[in-house]
Amino acid sequence: MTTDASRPLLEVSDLHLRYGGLRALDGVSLTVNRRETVAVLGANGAGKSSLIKAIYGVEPFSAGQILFDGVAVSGRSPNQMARAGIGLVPEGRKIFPSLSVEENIRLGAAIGGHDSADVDRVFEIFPELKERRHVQGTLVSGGQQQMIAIGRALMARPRLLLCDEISLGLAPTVVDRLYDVIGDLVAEGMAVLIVEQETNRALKSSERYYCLLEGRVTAQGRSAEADQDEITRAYFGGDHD
Amino acid sequence: MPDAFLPELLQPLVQALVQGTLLGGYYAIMAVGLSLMVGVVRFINLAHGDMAVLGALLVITLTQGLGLPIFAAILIMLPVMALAGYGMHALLFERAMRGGFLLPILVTIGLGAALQNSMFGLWGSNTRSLGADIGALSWASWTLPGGVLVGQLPVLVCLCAVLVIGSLHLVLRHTRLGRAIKATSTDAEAAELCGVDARRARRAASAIAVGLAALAGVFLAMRGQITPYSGPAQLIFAFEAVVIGGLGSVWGTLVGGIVLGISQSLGGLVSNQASLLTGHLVFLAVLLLRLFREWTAAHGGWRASVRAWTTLHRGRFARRKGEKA
Repeated sequence: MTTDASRPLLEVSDLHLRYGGLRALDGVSLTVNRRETVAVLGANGAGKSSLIKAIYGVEPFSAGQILFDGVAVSGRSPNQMARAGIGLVPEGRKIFPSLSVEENIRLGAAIGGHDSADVDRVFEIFPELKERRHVQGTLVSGGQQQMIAIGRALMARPRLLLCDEISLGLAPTVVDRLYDVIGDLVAEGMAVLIVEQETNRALKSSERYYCLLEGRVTAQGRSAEADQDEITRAYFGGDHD
Repeated sequence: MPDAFLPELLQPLVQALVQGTLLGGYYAIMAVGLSLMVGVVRFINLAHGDMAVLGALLVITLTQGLGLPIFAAILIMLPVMALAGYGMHALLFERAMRGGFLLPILVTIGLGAALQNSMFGLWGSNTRSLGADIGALSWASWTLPGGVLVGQLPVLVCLCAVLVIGSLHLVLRHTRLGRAIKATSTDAEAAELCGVDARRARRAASAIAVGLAALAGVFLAMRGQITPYSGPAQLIFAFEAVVIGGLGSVWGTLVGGIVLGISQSLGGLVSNQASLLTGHLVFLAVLLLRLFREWTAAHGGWRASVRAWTTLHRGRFARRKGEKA
């Protein structure tokens, strides 16, 4: 199959997702181009994590379509999404206490593929993890756990990386370091969709942004041209000074 | 005969300890699959013992019916049973698990009954054994200093248990499938978020569990005689070994099996009936100890728990005293 390089890598159209009576996503549409970082902003409960979960196949959505590299991937399982080339850095890191640092990273290769060469690459990106490779995964610092989560997602050599709240609970210097790594990955050709509550950090690290409120896209544009007042209105709704 | 190496009084005790340890190897093979099912799949397969018997009967048919060498028969039976475990999980257990807590228990009770009656229909109710197929191995033994007899077959089974559990440990630690199984056992939802196919991991665990149960069944038929209804008793021993050794712990199952085996052997010094009873009592003691430890852990350690308990009961006692007055 040939791929059209000018076409967005990820195309989400009119996505609807409900949890019982609660509308989590209400017609969300967005695109992520190749070699691009796109930020999804929004307050708690805006639908950001639901969007990530819907794209990755964790939450079944009621209507809409997801195209990855021009191929409809709606309804696929997370494992199939990973095989298709989408990696996820989940909210809360999801580090397994029964596995060591290295085993947690290697878990990302469970879908098949490369293993040793890729784990070496992850240790090149995060040398501090190599030093602690045999330590139980949950006994390293929060920043290092986030590095494990990113490294694990990289093991399957994704073309699109979904990052759900990677700055949560981490020191600013650590967050800077993680975003630097994400910048390097994009420079190497990866596309990244980041979901963040920390607006300034996300806008600084992305080319485009979408703002969600109550499951709807309330603002979008180029991050460099983002107007703070417009973002605040889109973020919280109504008028905010 | 006892000699100067071992006092006459101690000889039966040492003999029981050796026999119990070796018996523990069999229990461990039987239990490790069950431990995997409970720890990884979160599914209690009450037909586990019947799977063991089915594996043994298949080997008996292949050797005594078709004339295959026993080793070849085991090599044919193991993948067949593992495949059956995989298929059973895909077709039956997964659906049962979606039906809540009670349904899997009912389904596996039904599966066990169906298996027992199917085996009765196919193989009849006669007792069967693989003893004749392994020749002198079934009864040959070595005599250690002090007159302690060590059966060659129990030694083989125990070595096999160490090999099986060691291999399983290596698979769980160093392979992709193993890491997927461990991650799924910790948190299936989180494992899926990491791209792990939790469903496949569970099916694989089920295949391994049934394969190992069938292997244990073969050893059971080598050690003695089986009928289509021998499974439930083996399930109880496997459960006891799993609980004693600690749920989900691979090497713990070996320890659990050995503790159960030694308990039964020591009980056997008193009487035949006491043998099984001692095993059950040790299991109950360990179970109560574990429950007590969990209870005290939840109440800030055993000292704090005892203090809280005495305070509570002192209050009740004082109230009762007041009511009487």
